[in-house]
Amino acid sequence: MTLWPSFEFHEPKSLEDAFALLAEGGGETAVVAGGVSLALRMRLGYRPGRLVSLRLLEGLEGIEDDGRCLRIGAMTNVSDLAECAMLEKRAPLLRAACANVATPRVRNMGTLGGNVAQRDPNFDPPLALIALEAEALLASRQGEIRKTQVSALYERPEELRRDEILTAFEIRPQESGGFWSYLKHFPLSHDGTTGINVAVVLSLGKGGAIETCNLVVGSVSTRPVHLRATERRLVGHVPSPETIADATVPIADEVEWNGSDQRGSAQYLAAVVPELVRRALIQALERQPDAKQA
Amino acid sequence: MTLIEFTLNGKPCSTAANANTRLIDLLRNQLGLTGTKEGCGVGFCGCCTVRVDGRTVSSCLMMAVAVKGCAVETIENAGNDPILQHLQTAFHTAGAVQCGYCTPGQIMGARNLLEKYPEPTDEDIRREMLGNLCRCTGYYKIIDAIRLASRLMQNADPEVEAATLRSSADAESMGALHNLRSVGRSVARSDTLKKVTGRAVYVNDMTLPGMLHGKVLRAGRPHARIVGIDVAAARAVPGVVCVLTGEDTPKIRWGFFGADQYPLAIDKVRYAGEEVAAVAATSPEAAAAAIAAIKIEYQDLPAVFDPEEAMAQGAPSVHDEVDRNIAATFKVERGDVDQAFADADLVIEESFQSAYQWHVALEPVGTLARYDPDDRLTVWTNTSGPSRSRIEIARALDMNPTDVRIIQTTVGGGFGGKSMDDNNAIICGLLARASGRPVKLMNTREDDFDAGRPRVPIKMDVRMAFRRDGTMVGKDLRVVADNGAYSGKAPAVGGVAALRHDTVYRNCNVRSELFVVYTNKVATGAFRGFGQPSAEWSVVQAIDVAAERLGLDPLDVALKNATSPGSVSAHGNRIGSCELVKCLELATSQIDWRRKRAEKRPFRGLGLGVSVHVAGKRHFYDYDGASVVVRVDQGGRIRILCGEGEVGQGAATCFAQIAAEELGVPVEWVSLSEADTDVTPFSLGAFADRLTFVAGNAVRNGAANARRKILEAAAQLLNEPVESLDLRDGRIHGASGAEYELADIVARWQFRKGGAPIVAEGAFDADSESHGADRYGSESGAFSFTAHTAEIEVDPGTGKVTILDYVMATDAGTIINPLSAKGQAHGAFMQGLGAALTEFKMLQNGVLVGNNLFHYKIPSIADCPPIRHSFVTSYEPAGPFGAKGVGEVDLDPVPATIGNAVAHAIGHRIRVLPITPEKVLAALQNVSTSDDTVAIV
Repeated sequence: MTLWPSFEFHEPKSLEDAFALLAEGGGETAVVAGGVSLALRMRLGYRPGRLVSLRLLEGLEGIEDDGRCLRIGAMTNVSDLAECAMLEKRAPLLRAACANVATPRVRNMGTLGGNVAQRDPNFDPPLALIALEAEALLASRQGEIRKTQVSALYERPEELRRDEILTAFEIRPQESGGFWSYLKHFPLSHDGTTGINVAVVLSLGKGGAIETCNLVVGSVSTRPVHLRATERRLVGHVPSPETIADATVPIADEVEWNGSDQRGSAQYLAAVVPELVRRALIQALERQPDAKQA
Repeated sequence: MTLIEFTLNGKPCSTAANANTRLIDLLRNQLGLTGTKEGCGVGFCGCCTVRVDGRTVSSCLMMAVAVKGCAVETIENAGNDPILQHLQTAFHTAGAVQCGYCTPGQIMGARNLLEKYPEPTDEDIRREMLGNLCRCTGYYKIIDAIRLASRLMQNADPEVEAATLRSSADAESMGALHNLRSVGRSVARSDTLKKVTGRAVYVNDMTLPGMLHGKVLRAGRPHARIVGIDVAAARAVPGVVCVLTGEDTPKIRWGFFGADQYPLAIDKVRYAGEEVAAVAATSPEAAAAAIAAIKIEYQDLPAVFDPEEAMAQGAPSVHDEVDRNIAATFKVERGDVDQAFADADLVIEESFQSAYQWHVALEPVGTLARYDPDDRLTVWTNTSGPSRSRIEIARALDMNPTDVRIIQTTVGGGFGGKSMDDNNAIICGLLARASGRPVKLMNTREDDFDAGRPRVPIKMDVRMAFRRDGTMVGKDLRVVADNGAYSGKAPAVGGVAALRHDTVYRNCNVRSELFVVYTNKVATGAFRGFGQPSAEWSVVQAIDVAAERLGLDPLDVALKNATSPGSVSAHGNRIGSCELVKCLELATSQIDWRRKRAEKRPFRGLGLGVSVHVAGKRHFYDYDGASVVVRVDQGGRIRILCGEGEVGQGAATCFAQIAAEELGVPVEWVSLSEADTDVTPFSLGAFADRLTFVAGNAVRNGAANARRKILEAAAQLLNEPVESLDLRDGRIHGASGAEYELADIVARWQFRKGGAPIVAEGAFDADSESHGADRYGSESGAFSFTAHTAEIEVDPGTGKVTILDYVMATDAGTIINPLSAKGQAHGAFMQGLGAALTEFKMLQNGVLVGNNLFHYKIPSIADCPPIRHSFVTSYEPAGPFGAKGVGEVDLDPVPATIGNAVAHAIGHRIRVLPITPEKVLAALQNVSTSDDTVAIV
């Protein structure tokens, strides 16, 4: 039923070969990771002349943990991340976000790097990566590897250059037993995709006041929304129903909401997102930290 | 081309494919493994699920070249995979298969699940099966099947498991039928083994030598004059065999209720999905290239989208010859309505609006047609009514119906969407005739949205009058139905919406005025429930409003007004069996209605709804009948030639049970032919819940005639009086106690001097009337009833409605096959749930916003709420063994029941379907929703 355009297809076996293919392509060249979004875009009319698959490249898969930093290869499969016990211990927010990606089939096909490279405002893992202040490693032909904040990839689309390949992510592990939550609300059918998603990670300091806080909301604007003003309203306060309500209510006026779609109008998003963030914060704070148990 | 070497179902496979070949196309088209199905092409529906290196993937999103070196498993891998076999057995046994189109994908998804979780919890199933959509079963029996497969993996005995499943289903339905052998028993369906193994042949699985691929160009704009069409470039595309526009057709308009549409547009286009040109080419690629090369010059015309505006003077005319865009209208009054309102204690006035609902049968509409040199057209298509399709195709192609042969393929779900109001089969026939070669024209999911015939959005202004004690004394309705650009079945749907719900209530003074109005939007049509879900959304909620105003329990109001057996409704429906009161009592007692209504908790609500459905309707050609031919074949087996067809609901098995019961033979001895207009008698096909009742009666009648002929033949051959002979358990029993094989009698009767086959006809026409101008008369031969209750909770922070408990009690007469009928009720409920909560479509300037499943939300397995469903004991005297219709009635009241529960929960009523969180939240905050968020224009 569906027709894909004609294109050249390459499966280079080294990064150097991949860069060469990216550099020489005359027309539109696309990098293939899991290929899910690419397949969808091609059905909707995207016509790349050349596809360069990263499937056979070595060293782009898996998680390394040196104690201070987790390095996750860009080609690491989303299902593997969703089911990874080590990730559950070291960055449970990212694991939860991966487990919330669409459906089992999409998770089985998709990769973390591909997910981020699409820069789709509705996707799940980017929220966790931004909330965890993750960095993306971008390799280019000169053999250079450049690091940039994942959030920068969303703020500046040109940040991921056409001659670069996203090879890995680096994340500081979450504090053992830290406060976090990942919440996904489905206004219509619970279909895995058409939701509103919220990532929260925070820490408490002396006297129980919020010391650091990252709040990221997806699927409501043209890119994931890092609620920095809300974070500022929370930091330094001891969380209580009142402080959380005071901090979240103004979100309604701080976001450039998407226009109407099937989930509802901008007005609905503005009404429901503060409530979802409030719930995510409470859920995070209700998580019993291991440290206290010990 | 690239060489791809991989392992396919345990064997090495080496094949070449283009880089842009999808894995699904490699499997289906190049390797002939057609068990893997395509439902959406965007990885959303799960029909194309296969496993690559032990993990499920969407084969429609995967490049074939990406499986180099991998191990690929498909539904055809059962020979190597015991878990797959257990799943296939379990799906077949548990009644988890209806149309079967999603089944291979479901089973492959479940295969993954059981590997990871051999004893899955409910949560595991909902998480791991998410993304495998099913439109037939409501998922409940799929969950049962997965649990059964898990038990089979742990060495449970399949025979014992099957017997347990069936006897528990049969327990509530046997009633007074203990002496019956086949009827009332959950006989395994005859069509599901081939569906679970991927062997069932759907139209897209077929190819013929020399076959071409068709494709259609749609208007993409709501209203425009066609100024010029240039197809020269399209004709020049290599591989293109023919390009057709309206000018190349006989220019004959067709349609069941008002012939107003051409197969390909003539002069102007009236909605965005309208077909303007069609091509047939040697490859899908060439067909697509040709479509892209067609140049059309349009002059846009002012368009009208709102039915009320369309009726105003000066509105743009959708069809120039139609006054005020009114496609159909009537006004009827029974009794003295004004007097009833003047005398009433309470008068309420309400207005409600229903929404588009697309069928989303997982198999899109499709056709394969071949035109022979002797001027005969053979059409393989997934229509739900082959004989009616033949009449319309012959009309549009200007042929004699006898020269058109329709063969129904396996149908991957219909729900009204395959009742041929759309142009797919006709265009395919035109392409086959013009090209002289077989042509396949498969809709994509996008085509099904763009040019399907969704549920008719209906606005209903309701005035109702009551006495203080809740007695309904008067009803006054103004019904405005959105016909869209062409009259599919919307005029009939509107007629039903305006009148039929009166059948639920005691006769009173009613007036109903209907307008079915043309607009420049997608043409609307038949969807399971027909006009009833929209009517109940309005009337059942209006009665709930009245109960509240009168300070009465809605249950008491329902009981006070419930109709009874033997009564005649306001519009002349003659009710035979009716256990509505029993349904109401059961549905409310099971949910603990009185106590829970009394203990009202914040944001919790209980709602009640009732409905009625016909069992057949005298819609077409003044005929509400059916006929079959019963052949008693060599070998003593029974073959029934029946053109009603099987659309996935289990009709064929139901007919076999009825015939076996009447004949006195084992049910396995009876089989049904496919529907083929060259072979099977004229049949109206599947609509209006007619098959069990109308065609079931014809089958029973044919079986009785065949039995009589068998016994007469035996009497003559054995030289015994016919009264002394009996046929039971497949053997002929003589007076002396001697027994004879049926096969012997058949053979001896045929193979002798003056020999003859034993063939019998069966015919039945229901005791019903065609509606004339006064719209009075009994539209059907029997009526099914149902009562539903819902307990729901509203999330005050998000407006989301959660169903906590849902109870259904249905009077469908004798249940022929309880397991199968249960599946019908579940599926109907789930479609009703979609209509209630999630399904609608945004349009911009008459164009759908998104035309695939990303932008249209049918319920998923994770949406399945807890439900309980019962059939009450009932017997319809006019039905075969007491049976009536069962497929639609449990959809009808679902939106209204949930609407009532929401109103009870939050004290505000949602009046425009669906009940989205946005509307609920706005109601809670007392904000009026801006209409653009819910608009259907």
